[in-house]
Amino acid sequence: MEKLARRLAHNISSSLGYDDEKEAVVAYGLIAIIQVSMIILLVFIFGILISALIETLIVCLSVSILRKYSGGAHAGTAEVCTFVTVVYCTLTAFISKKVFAGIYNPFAMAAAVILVFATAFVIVYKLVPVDSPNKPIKTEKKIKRMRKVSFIILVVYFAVSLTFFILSKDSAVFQSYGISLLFGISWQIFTLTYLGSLFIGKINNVIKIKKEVQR
Amino acid sequence: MKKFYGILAAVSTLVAAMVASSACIIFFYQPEEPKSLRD
Repeated sequence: MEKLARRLAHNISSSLGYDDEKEAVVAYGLIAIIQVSMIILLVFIFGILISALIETLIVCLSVSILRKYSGGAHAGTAEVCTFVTVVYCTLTAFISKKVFAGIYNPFAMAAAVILVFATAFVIVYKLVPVDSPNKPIKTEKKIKRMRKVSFIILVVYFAVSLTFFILSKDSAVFQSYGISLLFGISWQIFTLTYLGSLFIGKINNVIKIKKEVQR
Repeated sequence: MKKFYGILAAVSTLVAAMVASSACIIFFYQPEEPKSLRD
């Protein structure tokens, strides 16, 4: 995926007479466009296949919106990233709709909402932003802004979660929507932690070893 | 072709600038950020 974007950026730069830095910017933008389009397309397809499109989109969007400002552990390649994102979104959407919504209990749901949001606020306060060597965040101004926006996003998620909880008394669809939202937030919060970083690192290693064996 | 490349370059640069203001590139993969987009 990245190779394709860099090759296309090279062709564009050669044709338009861009220097190396401009080519790097175009490649960076193309990687983002290709990766996001690919993930959204796959999430759509798998969401329709498991008959839980809305739930799949809720997990995907709740992770990606919070991730934009909180950062977190990263996959080694765009392909691993796409694989992890699509598998997690599809699997948790399926579990939300077909398993947990069937055994829904409002008291258990209220406890889960309190637990997830209490943990999320503490982790965001202590760890955000979690940067990476490929995109370091150095300035105090940006660190404060990222933390502030992450807090605002969590507050909005909390309001949406409460709305789903209230509406779930009259309509069963909101039960699985609420559970999906909690799955999305939990995953993103997990990737902010040391354990999350270890977990993504393990997945990177497993896929790397498999590729080397195939060669 | 040159016109198409020009539009694609403009859109990509715009997306790169938008992504630069965030903590990471939305999902779980982060390519190296170009120097000109760093703080």
